[in-house]
Amino acid sequence: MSRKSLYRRLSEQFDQERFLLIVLILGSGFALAETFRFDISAAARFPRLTGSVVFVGALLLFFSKYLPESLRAVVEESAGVFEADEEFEKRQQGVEEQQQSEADQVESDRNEFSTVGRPIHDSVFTALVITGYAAVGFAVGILWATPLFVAAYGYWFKQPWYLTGVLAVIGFAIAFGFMSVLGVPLDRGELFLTSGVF
Amino acid sequence: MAFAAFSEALSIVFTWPTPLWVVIGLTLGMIAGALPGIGSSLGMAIVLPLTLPLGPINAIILLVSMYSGAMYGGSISAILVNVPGTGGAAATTFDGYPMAKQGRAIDALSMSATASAVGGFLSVITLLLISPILIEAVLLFGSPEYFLMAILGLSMITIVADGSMVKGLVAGAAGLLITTIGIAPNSPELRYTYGSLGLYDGIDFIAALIGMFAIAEMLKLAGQEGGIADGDIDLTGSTLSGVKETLSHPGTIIKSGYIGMFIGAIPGAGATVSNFLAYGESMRSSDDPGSFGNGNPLGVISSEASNNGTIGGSLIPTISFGIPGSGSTAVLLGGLLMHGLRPGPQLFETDLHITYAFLIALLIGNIFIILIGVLVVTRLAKLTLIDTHIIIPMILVLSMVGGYTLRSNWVDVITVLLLGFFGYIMVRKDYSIIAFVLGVVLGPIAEENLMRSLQISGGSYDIFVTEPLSLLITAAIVLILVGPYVKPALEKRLA
Repeated sequence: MSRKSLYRRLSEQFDQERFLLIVLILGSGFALAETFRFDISAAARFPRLTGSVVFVGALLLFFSKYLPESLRAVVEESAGVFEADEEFEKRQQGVEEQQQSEADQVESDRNEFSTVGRPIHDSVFTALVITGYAAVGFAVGILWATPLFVAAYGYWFKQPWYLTGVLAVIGFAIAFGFMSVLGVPLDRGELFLTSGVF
Repeated sequence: MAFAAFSEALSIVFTWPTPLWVVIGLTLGMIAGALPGIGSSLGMAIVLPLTLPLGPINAIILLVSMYSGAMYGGSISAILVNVPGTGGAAATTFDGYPMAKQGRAIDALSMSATASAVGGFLSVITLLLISPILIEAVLLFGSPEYFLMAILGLSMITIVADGSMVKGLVAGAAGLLITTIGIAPNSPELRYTYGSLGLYDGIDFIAALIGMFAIAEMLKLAGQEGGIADGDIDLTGSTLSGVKETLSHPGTIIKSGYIGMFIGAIPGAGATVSNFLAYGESMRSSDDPGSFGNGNPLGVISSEASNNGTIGGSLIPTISFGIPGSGSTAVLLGGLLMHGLRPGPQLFETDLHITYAFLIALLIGNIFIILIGVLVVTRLAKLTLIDTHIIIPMILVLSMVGGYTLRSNWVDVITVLLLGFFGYIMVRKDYSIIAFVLGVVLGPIAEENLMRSLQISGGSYDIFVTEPLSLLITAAIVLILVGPYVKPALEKRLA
């Protein structure tokens, strides 16, 4: 199986909402369980209340398919307050459909995943590159990681090299401005350049 | 007391460099509003860390001016390229874009600037006039009422937001839950810190705002094709006729401005709802409803007067009870808290001059909207041509650097990232990020007031139903949460 088809299969099978609900169920369940280990009972009250709402609500949403029809309607339906008039909805839908069909056309002309013909979704790449930005920033300092991040972003999205260069300089200037004005040690990393440069 | 505070506020606002912050805020807001996908909440969120060196008054004035400017800025792309820069300008596309196609783009943009300014001016003047009543009302509230108001605000958002109510409740409660990380209020208990010093002070709500608004939105935008407008924009028409035409419909402006103000005062509703309602009302009361959607100036005027009108309305719950009416007011509330200003009695007693100062700044801002809107709009229109891949890396740099700047703490950078990814999925799957953000901002206030209330009552929850005011709010919460489900059944039975 090629990398592209493996990626396609994984992205088709990955259900974002299920993932979100699992995170919420596990996170709130853990938070609830932990409250029983607090020494001061008053401090457990608020996390217990909010954790219970998240836990029960997320469970209901996760298993909504298996709920009785009446309860499922309560879980899934919108309260419908302030919903736009039918006429506006039609107009808005018209605008959205037009934009969507234009976007679909562009997408099919280029590539099914990316607007610039890359093998993974643009949003996935952006998520990965910011994570990398944070990791490199942690290691050597955000100031030095910034132009690298901008260059990587520009390269991936096939921006002209001179534009990427200008943006990298602007990015560096933004970080340097924050460092100078606010006195934040952005030139210091946690692993390298730990004493800073400036 | 109010008059002395008002005089002090006047002198603050007219002392240099405060007017400069008004103009900077408005301009930044217009730029953020004119760029679809950016908007006021995101723009304000990334500017928030930059306000750290400013004093609280100038910082809040900068933020409210951005909010006001973005409301107008949203109409620029709505009129020129049929893509609303903010949700509050969605109805502006219906007649603004047809006007632009008819060669009246400058007319429409001038109408938008004038209607936005007058609508905004009216709502802020009204807010100033009713402020003595608000002061009296706010002083009636104690800890139990403040806790209940936080829950009421969250409940309102769950019924107003798109998607299921349960999703809204889960999002709001998840926001509240993450604020429990760190040292508990009024007690030395360390919660979910596991020995990490960086977590002792909890999750920074500004990092959460940056993640939910900036990172999530940029991830979404990254998957969209290039520029906003593909070619040259035809900027023809007359500024003067646009301004004159707007001022010849005072009834529509006043009505739409107040619709905006009323809707803005309801947590969660905001300009996204008010512009449709005002547009609908304008169409309903028109002699020629068929012309709406084909370039009727009243469509632009009503939508734009209402979205700026929401500003005054949304400030009522924000400064009175700490309940933001929208994403932008959530960021504004974050700014207030970051600069040590607590919504509620403090903003109406000791800090009343600050409250008046930013309301006066908003009034002045509305005058600047006409000036900037009419004089500089042809240049602002160029913003719609900028490729999104130029904007995205810059916003991401500002977000990451801004996140780290908050406390020089890597926990904040991780918060920005994780909540950004979380927010991206939430937006895609119809979970209200406004409810989540509101939960994050309100969490500490709600918990503190809950604990204080229970300390007063000796641990009894009766305190939330014994006083008439708290009973009324509790009843409103129950009605809001249960009403949408009970109402259809009741209607069915009655039918």
